[in-house]
Amino acid sequence: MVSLVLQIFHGAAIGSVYGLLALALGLLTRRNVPPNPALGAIATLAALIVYRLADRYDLPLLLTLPVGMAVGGGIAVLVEMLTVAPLGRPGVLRHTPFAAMVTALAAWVALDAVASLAAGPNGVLFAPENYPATVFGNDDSVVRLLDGMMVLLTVGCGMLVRRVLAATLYGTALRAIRFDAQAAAIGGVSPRRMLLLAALGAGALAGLAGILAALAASQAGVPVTVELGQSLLWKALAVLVLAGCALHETALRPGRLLLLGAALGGVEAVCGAVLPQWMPITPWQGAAAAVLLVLAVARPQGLLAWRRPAGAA
Amino acid sequence: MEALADLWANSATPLAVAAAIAMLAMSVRTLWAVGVPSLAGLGCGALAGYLAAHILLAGYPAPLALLAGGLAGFWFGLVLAMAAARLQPAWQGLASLGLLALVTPLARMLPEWTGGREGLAFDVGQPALWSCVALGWALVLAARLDGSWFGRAAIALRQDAAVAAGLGIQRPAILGLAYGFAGLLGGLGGVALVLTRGAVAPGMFSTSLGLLAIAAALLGGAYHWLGPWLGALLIGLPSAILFDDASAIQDLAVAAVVVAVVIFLPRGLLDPRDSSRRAARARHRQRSVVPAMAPVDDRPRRRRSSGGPQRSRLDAAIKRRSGGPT
Repeated sequence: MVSLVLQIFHGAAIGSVYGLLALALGLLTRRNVPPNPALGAIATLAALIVYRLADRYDLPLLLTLPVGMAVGGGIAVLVEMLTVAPLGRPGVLRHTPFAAMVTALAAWVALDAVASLAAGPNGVLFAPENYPATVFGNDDSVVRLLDGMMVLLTVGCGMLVRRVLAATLYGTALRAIRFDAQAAAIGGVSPRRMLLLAALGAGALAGLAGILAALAASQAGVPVTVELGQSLLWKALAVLVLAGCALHETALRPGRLLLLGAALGGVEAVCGAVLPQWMPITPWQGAAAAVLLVLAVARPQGLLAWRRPAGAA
Repeated sequence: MEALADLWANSATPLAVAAAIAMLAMSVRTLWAVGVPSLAGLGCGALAGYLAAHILLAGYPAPLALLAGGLAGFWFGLVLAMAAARLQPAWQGLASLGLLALVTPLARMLPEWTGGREGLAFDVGQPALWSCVALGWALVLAARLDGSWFGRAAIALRQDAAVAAGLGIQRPAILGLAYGFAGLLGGLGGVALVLTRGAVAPGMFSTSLGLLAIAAALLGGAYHWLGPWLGALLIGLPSAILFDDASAIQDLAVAAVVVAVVIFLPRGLLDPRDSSRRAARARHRQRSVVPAMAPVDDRPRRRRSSGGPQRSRLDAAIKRRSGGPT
């Protein structure tokens, strides 16, 4: 029983990382513009950069973690500039969601290609001395220090984002842009500047999520490949849709996203413990994509929203 | 004659791959015609590809596989339309990406139907010929659709859904038909791709292939029925010659092309707006009975008028028309 509870805690800790990436996706979601899938590839790239820094220069995680987040933020700003730029140009595409969708898809495929070149065919594995790999307990009941660190970091980031969104002018402006960018621009908000700032934050959060997921994978002995970001992306999208923060244009709720992600991670851990024959669905992205499809069709406002969905046609 | 046979033997496979990409690009364009940026046609292509592989393994001929794949794609497109019609266009696109992400794990989970990781392999004679035949069907269908009431209703729906509804255009019907035709074209493209490769495997219908189809549609011109074919010739053929299979370099190149085209050439190489403008100018020239005169500048010219006895061009034109000396 204790062993199962500890496994559920381990799954919840990993699931909070899904919630963190869902939070990053939600920051860039606005009316007529779906979440940017390139954030999944940014997560992989940030993890690979941290691996190179730790492996080649033997730098501690306390130093490489902010560097990885900064690189993630920088790449996200670049992607957002490429995604937003076509919308501002005269031409027929600016009136359709096609431009944003197509450029985001192109950025995702390109970054995935770069990540697959960087990771190589066999992937990379973090050395135990490069991250807190301490484990307490015996073989049956194990508590990992990394799990605690993941929970602390994700909760801290969630509280920070909530504070920024709820109590600062930046948050107010971002919420206004999420609802209607043109109206926000008339009200004196610069959508381009705010979206670039949001992309910086979203990229940093995606980078952190990728680094934490890569550390957890390395501790489990699974090499970090390009599939890490893809799997993480679909789980995060499933969390975003389940929470009703994607199709339903309400305020972004970081706490709800993190809790839902942790719950999904716990369910995943229970399934792995009780029904191990079903868990070869790796990457788990298939199941997450199925959840996303079914929910998008059956209940566009998500499970946790009760008002009429604005995202539905 | 032998030289021609050698040329066909060397270029048949890349041409067939380009033809398959052209049909997939046409399926992307069909949905874009109603304002939906979706890759649902590729999902239909995957279904049709596996169905065609089973038909070929059972010993039936390639045309039957093409026909069955197209019909299966049409049916699956209608099913997807019923499911996705409630969503906004951008979210329909994301749901189609989810569908593509679902194909690979699903194919690996059902090895008795899909052959698992290795997929299903078969041998077909003249695959390139059948791919080109399928492309011919697809081009005829696309041209007929563009000139039909469906094409006009799709344009109205894309430009303004509210006005289209006011004109009596039924959005669910047009959207359903668009999904169905996209499924049909995607199914034909999927079967053509499978025929060319001689096998169907889980990773064949990936987002990279979807991006290649989008790039072909955008580069050639998504507003003209011939645009996807031209785009596939320009981008699908080189990629089929240079890269045997999907590679990271190919993905990077295609992504760069897509971003460049979206920013600098948003209407593609074949733009029907240009030809309609040319036709309007020609009509205007034919209708004008009186030859057009050069525009007369009657603004006062301070320096020149103050400097000497020069008359304005307006005065000169009036005297010329009244027959007086200029």
